[in-house]
Amino acid sequence: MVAGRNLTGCGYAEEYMKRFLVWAAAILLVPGLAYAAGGSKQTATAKAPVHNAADYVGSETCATCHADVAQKFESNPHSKMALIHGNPQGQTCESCHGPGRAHVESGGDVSKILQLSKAPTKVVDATCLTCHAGAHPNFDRSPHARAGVSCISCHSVHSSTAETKLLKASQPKLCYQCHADQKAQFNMPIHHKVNEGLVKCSDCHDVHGTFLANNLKSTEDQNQVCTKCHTDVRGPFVFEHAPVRAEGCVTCHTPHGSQNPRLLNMPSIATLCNQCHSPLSAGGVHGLDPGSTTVTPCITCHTMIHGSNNSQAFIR
Amino acid sequence: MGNHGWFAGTITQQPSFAGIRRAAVVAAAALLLGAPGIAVAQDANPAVPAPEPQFSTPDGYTSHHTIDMGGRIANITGSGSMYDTLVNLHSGPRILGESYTLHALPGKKHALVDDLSAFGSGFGGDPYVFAKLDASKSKYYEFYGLFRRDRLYSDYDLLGNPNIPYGQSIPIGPSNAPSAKLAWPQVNQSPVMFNIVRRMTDTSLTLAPFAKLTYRFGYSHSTMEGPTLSPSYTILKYNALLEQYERNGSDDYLGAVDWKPRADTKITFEMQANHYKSDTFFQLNPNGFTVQEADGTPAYLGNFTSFVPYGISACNTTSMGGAYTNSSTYTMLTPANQPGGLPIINPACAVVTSYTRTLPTRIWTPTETLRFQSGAIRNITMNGNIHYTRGRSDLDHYYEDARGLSTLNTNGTANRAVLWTGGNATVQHTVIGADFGMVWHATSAVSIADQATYSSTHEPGNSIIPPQTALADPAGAGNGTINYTGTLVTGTASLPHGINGVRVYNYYGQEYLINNLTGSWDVSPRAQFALTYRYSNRNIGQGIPHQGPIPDVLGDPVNGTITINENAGVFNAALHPAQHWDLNGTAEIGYADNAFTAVGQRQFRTFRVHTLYRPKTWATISGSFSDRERHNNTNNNADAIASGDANYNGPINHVDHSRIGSIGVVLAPNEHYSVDVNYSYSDVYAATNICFSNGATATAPGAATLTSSGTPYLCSGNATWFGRDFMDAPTQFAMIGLSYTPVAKARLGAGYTISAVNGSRFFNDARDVNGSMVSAYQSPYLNFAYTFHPGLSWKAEYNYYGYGEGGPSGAAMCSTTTSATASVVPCSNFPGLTAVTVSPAGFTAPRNFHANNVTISMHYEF
Repeated sequence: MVAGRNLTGCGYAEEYMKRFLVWAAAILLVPGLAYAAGGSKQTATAKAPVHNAADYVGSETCATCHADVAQKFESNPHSKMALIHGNPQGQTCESCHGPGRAHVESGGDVSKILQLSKAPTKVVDATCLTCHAGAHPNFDRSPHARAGVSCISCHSVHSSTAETKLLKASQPKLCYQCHADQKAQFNMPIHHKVNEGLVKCSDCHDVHGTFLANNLKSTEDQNQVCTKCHTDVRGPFVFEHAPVRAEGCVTCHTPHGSQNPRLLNMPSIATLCNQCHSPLSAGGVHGLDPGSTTVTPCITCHTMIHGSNNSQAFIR
Repeated sequence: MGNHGWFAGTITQQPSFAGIRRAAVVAAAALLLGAPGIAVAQDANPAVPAPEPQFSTPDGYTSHHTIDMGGRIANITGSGSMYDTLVNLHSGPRILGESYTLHALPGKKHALVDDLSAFGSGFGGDPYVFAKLDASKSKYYEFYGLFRRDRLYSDYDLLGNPNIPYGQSIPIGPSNAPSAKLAWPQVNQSPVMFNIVRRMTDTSLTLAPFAKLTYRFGYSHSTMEGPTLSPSYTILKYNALLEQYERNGSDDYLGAVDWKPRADTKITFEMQANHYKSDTFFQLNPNGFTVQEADGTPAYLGNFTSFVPYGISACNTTSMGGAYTNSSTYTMLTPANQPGGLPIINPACAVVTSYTRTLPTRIWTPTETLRFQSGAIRNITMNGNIHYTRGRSDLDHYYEDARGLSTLNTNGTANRAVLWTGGNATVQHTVIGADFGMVWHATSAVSIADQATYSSTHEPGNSIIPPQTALADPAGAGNGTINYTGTLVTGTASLPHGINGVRVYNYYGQEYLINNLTGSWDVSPRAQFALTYRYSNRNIGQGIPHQGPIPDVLGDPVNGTITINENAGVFNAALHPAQHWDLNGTAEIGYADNAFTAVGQRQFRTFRVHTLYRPKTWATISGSFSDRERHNNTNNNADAIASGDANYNGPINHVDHSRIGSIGVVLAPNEHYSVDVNYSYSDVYAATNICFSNGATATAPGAATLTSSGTPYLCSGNATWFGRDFMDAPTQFAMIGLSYTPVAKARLGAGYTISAVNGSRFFNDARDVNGSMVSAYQSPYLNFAYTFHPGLSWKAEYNYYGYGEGGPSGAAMCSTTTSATASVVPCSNFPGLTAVTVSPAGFTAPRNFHANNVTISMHYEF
């Protein structure tokens, strides 16, 4: 250990190993707890409302009238397990639409069956979350839910055309349908390569809701939404450029698209830096010198502007 | 050191004969590929129905395979650097797409997979390559893998513009009668250009996804590697342009177990560990060696951003011997001793002959997270998590070595070499955080929700770089040369900002709590309303000690703590006026009692409206409007001002807004036609009061207002003059895409996209490049696809990419002299500039390019 570098008073490797063992033991204990609590055969499938078994007619009956839907449903993840393996966990028509006997016996009266395509969004969401709440626990509180955007606004349960997740269309086309303003952003000269397919909206946003604004994905360090890819500026650094850490990358960058290079918020680095580093704003370090002679771009010297391990002024 | 050629190969974009030849080969190959298709098409029965994917059923599966092979032909004129920065598509053969899907048929037993899909694109040289694999087997496992490779190229010459006017030079031979001149080079590349390849692999495996116990494993690997340019603060005498070879990698491991004790409850324990490894190193830009020593050693002059060429002040005149007569008669450079060689620099003049900096860094960041989600309580859903991170970054061996000559003064003393080694740094990163959210469905129409987030981050660290070991020539006339053969004197020196051999301790920390309380009311199936009250408290501390407020006059590092309380209200409305019409909007208004930065928001409001109307199943009309406005109309460091530690220098008066209105129409009335039209107008504006730290004349923009005693109201102390930094970027975006399918075999598409900005900015620097505030980026396209035979199609696409910048943006400000205290006046008001005459276009040509790209491919599926 280099003198002066011991921050904790104990060996880091030992501590890390201890933590690993504790958590490994915890992981191994979970199955035991599960087994101990496993009197119930209930699994994480539908929390289905209680109905009389006689009210159900089976998907084969549905297919007699809805053959077009049934045919497409064969490749649907909701049903394929049942089709391939006869697994009862596969979902069929009445898992979502409710028992169909009344509907069938009335000759197809649409008022006798749950029509999710015409149901209020909360009914739709509640139906889907019966099974998917574990995967999307924040959806109830998400901006999309409050905007009346339901699950079937984006997902086509019966016949999806996108390759994954039963989406009605692939990203970003699907997202642009409502977020037309973002389409403009991602067509600016400098932009994240969303249209090119390299990055998806869902790489940074969880549209089903998070604990953060704008549906940004939650991480232990909020900037990790950015630094998952931009690993070189992740840090931590001995000398953090504090606004980068405290206020986030968007203090200086516009993430979706910009006419400015490097997605900067201002067109040149000097004007960007001097928004804060002016004597006018207490807390500023350097002010803007006058004229042409000394306005060298700040990063000519302060190259490690995201943070440095060697220099308080980010010059090394 | 020779030119490694890393940059030359990518930025030389003028079409070469080799490139044209290659493009021709690609075109020929694509046409040859198409020829059989044409032949097949001619022989085929015209009554062949629309092509259907051909499926085979190998042993209980259906499978489908597609591949698009072809190539690109790119012809670029104008700025190749800008083309690579924005587009970077070049000529060559490509696998433009490949997909494979495999599905088990009903009744298939004992198979390894039930479903498998793979997709790849861009192989062969495109800047963006990705490959994806999904595989699953019913209740047993789900696997996901994604590989992405992208080339990050940026040579947008803005952050450090050339700075140096064309035509300046250094005399070769006697200064008063030079035999030749060495051009003082303009820096035409961005000093922060980069050409990096990033490879990212993400994999995840879920075992027993539908069981009570589900195990999840993940592994991600990321690397960034490639050359960049980086300016550097003083290397020996002057700043230098370095080549920074970026080389870092990140490994991320994930293990998790989900326990579902009830159908409506899930508890998850997750452990994630990230290991980051950086071996980035620096050396002199190989293109920067413009002179040589007498023994043939290439030498670097440095000072690449200087307005004034390298001159006699860089030389130790007392050691120059007969080469120095007086300040106007001297010889710094002599002609090369062989044709085509570099000029020879006087051995008493400052140069850098070699430079190396390495700072290998390793970071471990393990995080444990415990999550839960439950709907077990009647009418209540809730979820949350608690997470703990304690990572650590170690830089064990800092090394920096500079060789050359640094003339420190004229008494004969000079540094021959400097060396830092043995430096190290370490920093811990500890985060504990928790989130909790719940919704109580009080009635079928009313619900109450609360969401709270807490996080506490601590980063203590320390760093040391020992005093540099400096080998200096002993004092004495004639000793201060790079050829001195006597005993060198060992000494120490230091760089500013704490790089002085003293271990420096530092700290950063932040704690915040954010709570959102929301009441929702479903007035009817056609109308929902929600009202949210948000409160947040943040404490940010930096430096040691950091208990007090951040002071007015700052040292290095900044010490202090700042507290910010924020209150905001958010109103949501979701309306469903008609069966096919959705309309929703948000209004958010808030206030913070402090701000961490000048551009931090003190008052803010955001309005958003989205609407979607589908009058027909084939017609969609969408519209959106968003307006985000933020103000900071006071000094940001309120605590320091209140405690008397900081002076009130006047309002920052920061304002920024982003107002965007968009409309989109998609029409697809039948299988033959479709049209997609979009238009957006965005008004992005930001402005902040700033102070000039040095005095100037009252002709400086926004001259200070003086009190009766002559003291400026603003910009106290040395910062006398006041200006308003601003950017105004009104931007229009338009796009139209047409698709025409006259028969099932043929498809024609065409479209046009343009994004154009016509704005202005604060222009404080005559040398600043006329930036991107007046520019247009457009890309029309035309594509055609024809199916010759079921499963075999020929495709062609033409893309035009054009980028152009307009004239000066804003009022260019010019200095009257090169003095640091020069008057600054609008260039248009001062035709007789004494320093330099600046063309209206600035020192650099506008960054324009045009590119005609053709992509030809065959699509085959079976």
